[in-house]
Amino acid sequence: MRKVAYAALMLFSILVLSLALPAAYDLIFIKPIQKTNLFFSPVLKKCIFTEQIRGFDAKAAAKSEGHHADIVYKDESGEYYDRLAFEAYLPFIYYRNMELRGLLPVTAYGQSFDRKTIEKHRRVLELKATSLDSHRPKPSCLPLIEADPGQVALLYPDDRFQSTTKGLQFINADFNAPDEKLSKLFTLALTNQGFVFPCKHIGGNFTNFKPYEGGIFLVDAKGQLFHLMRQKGEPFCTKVALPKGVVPRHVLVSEARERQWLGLVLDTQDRIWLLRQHDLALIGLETTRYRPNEMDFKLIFNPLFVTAIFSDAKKIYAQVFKLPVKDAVPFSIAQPFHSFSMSMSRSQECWQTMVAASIFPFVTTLQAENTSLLTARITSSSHYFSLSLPICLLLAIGYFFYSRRKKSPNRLAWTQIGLIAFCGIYALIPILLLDENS
Amino acid sequence: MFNVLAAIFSKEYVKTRTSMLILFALGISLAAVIYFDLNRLFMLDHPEIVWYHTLDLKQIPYGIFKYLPMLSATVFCFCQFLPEMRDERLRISLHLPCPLGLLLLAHIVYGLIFLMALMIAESGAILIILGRKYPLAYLPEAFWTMLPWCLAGIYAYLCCAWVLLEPKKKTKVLGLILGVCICTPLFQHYTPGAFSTAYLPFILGIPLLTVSLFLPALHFRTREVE
Repeated sequence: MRKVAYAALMLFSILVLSLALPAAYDLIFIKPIQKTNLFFSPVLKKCIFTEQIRGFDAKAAAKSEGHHADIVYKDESGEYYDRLAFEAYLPFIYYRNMELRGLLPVTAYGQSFDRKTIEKHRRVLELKATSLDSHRPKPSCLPLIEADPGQVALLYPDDRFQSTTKGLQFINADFNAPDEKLSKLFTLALTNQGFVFPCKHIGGNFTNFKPYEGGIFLVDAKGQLFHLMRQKGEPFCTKVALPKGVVPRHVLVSEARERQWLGLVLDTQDRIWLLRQHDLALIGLETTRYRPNEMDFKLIFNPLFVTAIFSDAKKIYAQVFKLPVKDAVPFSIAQPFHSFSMSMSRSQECWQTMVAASIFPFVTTLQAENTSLLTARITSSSHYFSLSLPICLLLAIGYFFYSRRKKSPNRLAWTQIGLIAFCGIYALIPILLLDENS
Repeated sequence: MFNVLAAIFSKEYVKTRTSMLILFALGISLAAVIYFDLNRLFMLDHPEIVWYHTLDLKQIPYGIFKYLPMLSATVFCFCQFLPEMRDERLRISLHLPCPLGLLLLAHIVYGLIFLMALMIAESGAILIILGRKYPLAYLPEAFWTMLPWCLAGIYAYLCCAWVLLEPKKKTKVLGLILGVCICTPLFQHYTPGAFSTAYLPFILGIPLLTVSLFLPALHFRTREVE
């Protein structure tokens, strides 16, 4: 019984310590670094970025004028800039500062752009890996906002809907009870268009803080895409035409004043499609290295280009496209005219990360950057054979001499030495505190 | 053997009934506070706006419950084991015709049964209260949000029992360290419902820690001190 209890305790302690100690170490010693902000400069005609760094960069410090020396402004050729020059090379991002400094209108690619033109075209569409259905808890009930509320501001509806195997079910918030009439009305509107339940995905912008209501998109059991709107309480449903073989995985809806692009569609083959507002046509973007399960995706629109920025935990990619024209052929796929990729400063090692990789042979984590769902994962040290294993062996040898001081090592002591050689500090702490050898 | 176990359960019941009653009353009072809080919330704003705050903005209207399981478990553990360890009264039970492992297990199982019943009653009451005001589809999310708090309560009980049973100061520290290390991630703020994919390892840890409590009991029986 004693052996079983000891084994149970060691297993429990090792797992718990491998979860808590690295987290505590990171909290105390590791400076968290946000992802690099990467843009395409229409002035330099190349990518330019800003990022926070760990440690010291003499060139960045020289440009920082002694303030915020840990923030670097660089372009893809490695040239350093100060903050003001960086902003001047991104007039479509920092146009308000440019206006304040009297630098507007700005000229790029032979065209002149004032604040009004820039504001009209500027927008960002962002699809984070954590937003994908398989990477977040399933939303319980969603609101279908009235598109024509008869007033300026959009109103939150009195009801919410959920998708069941048989149809849409609306639940009235005042009575907290299903609204059968409304449920039938909207289910019928969808099935009349050929919708097959159960619904695989519901995409929408479920807020009333937006200029207008663009409706929601539903992917049915067969992978068909439908657009559903609520106008004066009535459902308006249309089937969205899809290129052959394309099955939508996620629809991002983001209504903007320019009313040109309603959002974007991610398909099951990891391709991004822009969703045109007036005819719901899909225009593809060739983003070959985009892996939606691991990467955050961002589209930055400006009066000249669309820049696709996508990044995993370590690397960031930029692909720049000419702004698709309003009447681009549906299902056409735009090719990038400029691409760039780099390792972000957050992936660089510093002495703090090296110490962690040395003392922790493996780490148990619950959270990951690409998902809001928790999963227990065990990952070995990035320098297991070069740093972590020698340190574990040193600890094991040290414990061998320590245990020999009292009496010659017995079977238990040899098991403990083996555990320390494999699990390092995680095994050493409970072994020393338990002191079973004595 | 059955008579011995029944006698242990009876002894534990007599010893802890007042504390059980107080903790149960505390849990029900807290559920009542949540009930009135929620009613006020729906009185002050339109139901669809309260739903928006909870379902979309992920506010937790029953957040006051968060530390109650841990608090209840710690108090209950002290009520159950402190009288046993004071003047080493547990030693009398060691004379019972029952193996040490089973004797200890009976004590721990008694505590775990009460705590689980208490937590099921408390979280069940909260789910019923929520079900009156929110759509039923919201209840799984609330359940997965409360589960890590309840698991932290179970672990707090087991680690507290470890600290109280263990005679060696150095080994008491290990129980304390393990308690802090396991409860901290369970109290972190996660997206409501995110725990639904991570509960299994935490549940599997409970039998491991329960079995390992045999070690401090053995140290106690063999009078192992530094």
